[in-house]
Amino acid sequence: MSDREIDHQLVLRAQRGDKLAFELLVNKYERKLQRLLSRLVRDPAEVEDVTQEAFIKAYRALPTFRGESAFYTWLYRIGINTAKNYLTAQGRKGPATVDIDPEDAESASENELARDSSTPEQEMMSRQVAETVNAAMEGLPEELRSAIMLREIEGMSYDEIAAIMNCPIGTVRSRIFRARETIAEQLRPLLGTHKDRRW
Amino acid sequence: MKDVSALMDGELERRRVRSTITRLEGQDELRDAWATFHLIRDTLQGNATGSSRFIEKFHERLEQEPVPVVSRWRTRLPRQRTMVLAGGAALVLALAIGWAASGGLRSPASGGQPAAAILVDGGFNDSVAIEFAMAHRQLVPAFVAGPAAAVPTSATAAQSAESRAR
Repeated sequence: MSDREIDHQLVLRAQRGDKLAFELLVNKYERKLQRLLSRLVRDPAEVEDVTQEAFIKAYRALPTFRGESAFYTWLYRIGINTAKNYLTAQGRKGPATVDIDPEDAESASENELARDSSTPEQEMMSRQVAETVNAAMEGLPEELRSAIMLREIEGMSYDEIAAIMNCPIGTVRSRIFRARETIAEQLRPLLGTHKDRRW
Repeated sequence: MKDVSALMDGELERRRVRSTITRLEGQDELRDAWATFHLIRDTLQGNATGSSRFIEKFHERLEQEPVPVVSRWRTRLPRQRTMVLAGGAALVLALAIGWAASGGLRSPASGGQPAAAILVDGGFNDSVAIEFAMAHRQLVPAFVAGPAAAVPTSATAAQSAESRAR
């Protein structure tokens, strides 16, 4: 089942009143949407507020979502409108070029802007997370590191990775999972466990 | 947790998706993995930004929100909607065949012969449709008994009018 179909499954559950399903989507897209909206709303504290508002508006608008576009494309439009309305209400204007292609918005090329618009605390946290992830990546066995890089950096499917690494798909699945687990293990002291946070 | 990893990659077998999402919602440990795995992804892609308390704050706001009202139709998967529509279309087709076979369509040029008979006589050779009509002959007596037996032609109609007059 494709990523888009899985999002749609979560949306359908949320439409049936399952708030946890919607929170799983928020968890998945919170950083991507914040990064996008930081192009319009430069104040870091405001970016977070506008992103929260955009997710709430999306939740309220769930009855209108029919799955004709990808969930993120739909969410992206709500986010842009929320940011524009916010800036208008503040008597400010956003950048002239706000019509960013949702596909572009998903690319990793604009992360510098987001980094510039973080609060000092967010910046420190992001740096610590990045350092921990990088250190964990360095410590991974070669086959695990290659598998997760091909997946997360190159965006390859398990099929493609299996062909490149010359191994069965099941092995790719295991390697990617083990890589994630190893990195997550090193991140947990930094993030707290599920007992300390919402999740 | 391995299934959560495959799920977030869109690589989990279709039949296991539903149960995995249900488990994901029910177990803190799995939700923790979902959140952390996505953080790792975003970090590797250079998107690690924002507050680590974002979801906590959002959760508090979402708790205050009423559940949106969505019609049951909308919450069906597109495939389910297609199946319902296909079922409806099949029913309409069946009724149309029954109606046509019982003389619903009659052309003056055919001498009052029912349309279904014309279609069959004229080369309409859809065996499935014919089988369907045969199986439902109680609904389409004209089709089974023959057009002349069940449907008054202009000649028989004239005869009965004449006998009524007598």
